[in-house]
Amino acid sequence: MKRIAPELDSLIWTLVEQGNERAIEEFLARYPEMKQEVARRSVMVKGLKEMKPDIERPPFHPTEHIRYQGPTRMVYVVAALVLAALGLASFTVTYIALPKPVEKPKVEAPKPIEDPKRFAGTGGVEKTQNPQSGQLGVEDEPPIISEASAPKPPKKIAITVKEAPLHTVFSLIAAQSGLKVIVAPGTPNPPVGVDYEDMTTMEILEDMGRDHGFTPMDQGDGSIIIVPAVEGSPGQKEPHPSGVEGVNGSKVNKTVRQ
Amino acid sequence: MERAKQGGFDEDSVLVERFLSGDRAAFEQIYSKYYDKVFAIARGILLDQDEAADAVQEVFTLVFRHLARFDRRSKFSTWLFRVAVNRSIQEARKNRHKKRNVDLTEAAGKIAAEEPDNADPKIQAALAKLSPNDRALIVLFYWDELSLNDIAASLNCGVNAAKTRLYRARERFRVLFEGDEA
Repeated sequence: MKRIAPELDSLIWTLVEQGNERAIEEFLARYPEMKQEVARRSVMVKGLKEMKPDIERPPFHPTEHIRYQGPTRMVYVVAALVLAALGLASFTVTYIALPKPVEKPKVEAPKPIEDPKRFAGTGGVEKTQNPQSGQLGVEDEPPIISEASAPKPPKKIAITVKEAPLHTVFSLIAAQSGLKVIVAPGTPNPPVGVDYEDMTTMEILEDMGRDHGFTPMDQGDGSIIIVPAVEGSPGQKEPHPSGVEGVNGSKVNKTVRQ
Repeated sequence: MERAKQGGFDEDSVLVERFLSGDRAAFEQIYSKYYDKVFAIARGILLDQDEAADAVQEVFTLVFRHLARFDRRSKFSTWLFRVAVNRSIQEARKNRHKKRNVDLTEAAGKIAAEEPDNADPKIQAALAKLSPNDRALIVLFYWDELSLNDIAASLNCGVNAAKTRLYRARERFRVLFEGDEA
């Protein structure tokens, strides 16, 4: 069949739908080749229009039950169940596929200061001014480092060095304890000799710090920072007793040679 | 009359207001006025006299119950036709699932047997092969003789969209009709 131009096609539809005989005759006089097309469409449109039903109108009685109005409640229930199943499946797959998170160590709150009388009226920490350096320092007490924050009980080690530089001793302590010992610049490095048994790393370092002028600071993440102690700090102020009381109350021998 | 329509004061509006104020006789007038057109829509889409009669009763029941929801942004008639078209298409889709296994030609023949004498079996067969949406357009245009504006309002789409959809539905119908003829 030959394709009819869109404007002509539209015109033919308009003519046959309006059913104006005179207009159709005029059109066919101009486009005689369209006679069959016009006839076919006229039959179709006439047939369509004649099919309009003619029915006697019954009286109106509101229907009690409307047969179907959108999705039923059952559809919503099924959809909700399907969504829930999908959600559960998604959660399960994600839970299985993802690596399990590493358990974080329990961090306990720092213990309250045992002797509140010492800090009465100072807001907790008593501060004094260093007469020489002019810096503020904490009287007698090293900074509170919560040893309890360590995930495990501190490991007790033993170390004996006849004579070695201080920084080398730190390295040996680090190797034995498995902790990371970071030495701040300016920390003295004199040759020392140590002999500790059954003591924790912090106890050893604190003890050494008192003798050699540094302060160990436990960072709680497996690392200890060694910072040089200022003059007049607890490490140098008080002479250390010859014996140190161990954690379990055992007497620990210690000798320091300098 | 045109002025009355522009001002939103046409006969249908009066009937609607009267019904909403409690005058049930006003609804009877609406029913009498639009029954034929609504039935034509239902009949054209559902292709079954009894199904159409039931659908029309349901459409008017819905309107009777929910007329207060009519927002008056369109003409009452186009709102009513929209309800009728949507309701009939819903029902036709539901029936299509029921009759899925019935042969189309057999179904068309069955429909033809129910038709009045003036019905052309070729037209009926072609109509039966169209989708309910296409039938809705054909019926609104050829049976209810609505303008493109009213068809657009009844189908809740723009005039250009209605024009295009009508053109396509008519073309599909013509192909089916002429295919049967050949």
